[in-house]
This record gives sequence, C-alpha cells and structure tokens, in this order.
Amino acid sequence: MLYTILLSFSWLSFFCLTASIILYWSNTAKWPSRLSPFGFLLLFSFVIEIASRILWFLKSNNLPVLHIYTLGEFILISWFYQKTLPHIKIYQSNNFKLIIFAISALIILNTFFLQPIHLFNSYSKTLVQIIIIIYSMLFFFNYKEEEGIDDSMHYFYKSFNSGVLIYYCGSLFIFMSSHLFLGNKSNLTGLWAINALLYLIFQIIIITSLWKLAYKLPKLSP
Amino acid sequence: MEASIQTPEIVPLILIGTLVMITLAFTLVILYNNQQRKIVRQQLTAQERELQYQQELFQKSLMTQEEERRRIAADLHDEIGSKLNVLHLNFHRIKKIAPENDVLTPIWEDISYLLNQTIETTRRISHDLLPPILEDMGLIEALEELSKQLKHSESLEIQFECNIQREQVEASIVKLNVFRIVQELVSNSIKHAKASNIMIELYENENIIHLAYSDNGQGFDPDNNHKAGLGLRNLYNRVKILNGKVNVQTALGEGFKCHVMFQPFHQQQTQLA
Repeated sequence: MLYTILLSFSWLSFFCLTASIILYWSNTAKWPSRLSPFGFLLLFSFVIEIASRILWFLKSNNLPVLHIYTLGEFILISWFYQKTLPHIKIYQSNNFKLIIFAISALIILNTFFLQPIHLFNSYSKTLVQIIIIIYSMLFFFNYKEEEGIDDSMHYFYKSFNSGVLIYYCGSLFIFMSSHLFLGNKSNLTGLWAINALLYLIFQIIIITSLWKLAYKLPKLSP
Repeated sequence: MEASIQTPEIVPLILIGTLVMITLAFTLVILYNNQQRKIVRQQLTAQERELQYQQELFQKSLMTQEEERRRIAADLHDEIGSKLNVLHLNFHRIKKIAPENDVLTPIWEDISYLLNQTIETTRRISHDLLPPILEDMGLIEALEELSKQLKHSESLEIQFECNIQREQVEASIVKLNVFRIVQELVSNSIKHAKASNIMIELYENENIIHLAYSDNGQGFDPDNNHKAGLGLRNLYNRVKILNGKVNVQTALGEGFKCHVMFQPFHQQQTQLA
C-alpha cells in the first residue's frame, strides 16, 4: 500500500516536472536572465529523473544518479540564489565562488573515498541540504522587492523559496539517515513516501508559480 | 559495501525529526507570508492616508482662499471703495467752487477720469473676488449676471439655462463652489480654448443636481497638458467638496464638455444624520 502511494507521488511529481520544463522552455523569450539557473535546474532534474527511472525499470542500482544529482543541484541552486539576491555581499564575493568550488570538491571526494557511488551519499546530501536551507533562510530575511520587476516575478521567487524550504527541511532527516537503511525496504517505504510527497508539493508549487509568471495572472489580494 | 544496520528504533526518531522540520518549515513560510501581507496592508493604508491628507489639505486651502477673497472683497468695498467715493464727492465739490481756468480744467478732467476709473476698477475687483449678487440673491441670479457680463464684454455666445428650485442650491457651500466651477470653466474657455460659444445648464433630475457645461473651443489632451491637468484637479476638488461626481470629455479640436452631479446639501445632511 505504502509502496503504491510512493510510486503515485513519484509519477505525479515527474509529470509536474515535465509540465514545468515545457512551460519554462516554451516561454524563454519572457524570462529575465536571472531566471536561467532555474531553467537549467529544471532541465537537470528532468534528465536525472529520466536516468533514474530507466535504471529502476532495468532493475539496476540507481544510486549513482543521486550522487550526480547532489552535485548538480548544489551548483545550480547556489547559482540561482546568487542571481536572486545580488545585493547580498557574500554572494557577490570571490569567496563565495571558492566555497562553491570547495564544497563541490568535498562532494566528489565523498563519492570516491567515503561513500561509493553505488551507495547513499548521506554525508554530502546532508551537507548540501543544510546549505540550501541556509540559502532559503537568507532569502526570507533579505529579499527586497525591487522596483521595475513585475509582481508575478516576486511571487514566483517567494513561492519557489517556500517550496525549497519545505522540501529540503522535510527530507533532511530522511537523507541524513539513508545510508542506515540500505537493503531494508520495509523501513524505507514510509519515509520515502514522505520524501516523495514533499517533492510532489515542491513540484506543484513550482508549476503553479511558473504558470502565474508565464501568464501574469493577478496576485491574490492580501 | 557498507553493511546495512537494522535499527528499527531509529525510524520513529527520524519520523519525529522529519515532522518537526516540516512543521518548522511550514510555520516559517506562513509567518513570512503573513508578515508580507501585513507590510502590503500597512503600505496601502499609509498611501490612502497620504492621499486623504493631500485632499483635505487642498480643500482647506481652497476654503482659506475663499475666506481671503471674501475678506479682501469686503475690505475693498467697505474701506477703499467708500473712501474713494468720498474722495470723488469732495473732488466735485472743489471743482464746483474753483474758477474756470484753461490750465486747471484739463487737469480736473484727468483727475475726474482717473477717480472714476479707480472706483470702477475697485468695484470690479471686489465683485470678481466675491460677487455680492451671489450672497444677496443666490446662485441662479449670479450665473445669469455672469452670462450677461460675458456676453457684453467678450462678445461671446453664452447660453445659460436653469431648471432648478432656488432652495436646492441655497447652501453657501453649494453656491460658492458651483459659481467658482463655472467661473473657472468660463475663464479657461475664453483664455485657453478661444471658444466663441458656451452652454451652461443647471437642472435637477431624480433628486440629483446636474451642472452641464460645454464649449466649442480647441479642446486639449488631458494626459499631455500639465497646466490643464492642474486646472482639472481644482475642478475635481471642488466637486469633492460637494460630495459629487464629475465627467469630463475633451480632446484636441473637439471642444470641452463637463458634467457635474451632486445631491442637494440638505439631503446629504439628512442622510448623514
């Protein structure tokens, strides 16, 4: 039962992601340049999902895809927040680029030396999730509605950030302890179902805010 | 390969941790959204207050201006006008007893002419500031008088039609503001629009008083004419004092039309009570 629910959430979020990709890339002329990291994140997530599902269908271990995804999501989400909050000094300094490089190196080193590619990369995944949660919190305390930017764009940024916080906070403990449950499916299913539900909520937030941005529907009044 | 660890007791802990994190995340998102809504509401309230303050300030300045005009008109008439009349009278008395003289006679005539001109100008300025007929007789008579004066002085075709009871426009706030609206519209039609034909209608329909004004002047584009825009702002503010509505139609080369509607003041006060 739980496994069926897990699969349903997984496929629904995949369809939402597909719809987001189509919506984003069919309206590229509309988007400002600061939204490009988001576009690449969508594309990257889509490719990873396809690869993961192909391996799952072939009954192969698809954990290597998670290692690649961890590295990619970290770089792309860091780039996204750097573009979204240009007034925050730390994002614009050379130190930030050094930090990104250093953490990317750690993720790769973890894969080669600590948690091999066919196992859960809980250390690097946890580190990346905590960093992304920090990005999200920084956004909440520092985001300024710049003049000259449409209200629907502000709404998109706030919605996406809310989705990031909900998903990455909710799945933190699951991924933190993932390496403990390898081979033990019965314990996994309930937790992974929660992860799939959170991911689905995240994708729904993305598709609805992207839709409003694409078609500039009026914001709900306060 | 890392050995999997059977730790069933950890699962509830992970579950609790996950639920706590989800709750924290949702709480933060809700708090943030509420704060944003509060900020937007506060900004809207501040903007509304600012707008209301600007309007109240403008209306107060209009009322102060009217008070000043009233005071200056009264001073001109009572102080300067009366003294000039006494001066004129005394001058004529001196002229009567002074002997005829080729040198003095043209000077007497010049002085007489200047005195007459000054008295006339003082009277005209005083009447322009606040026509006594408006206070003594009422709005309808004041508008009729204004139309007659303009016909003579500006050679205009000006029609004034009135189909209203005097009592409906008796309140001084109505008399004064409607008169000033018409005065300003007429002044603009003559000076800026170069109109040759003006139509003014004052009538009542279903308990609403209507003031319809139109001219055949050159019109203007309200969006691109800053000065005219300011003049319209005066009009809108006077209509706001009357708790009325105004509809303006104009374009370059298409004349000017203005329609003001408001309830009789005694009715507004009854509704407020």
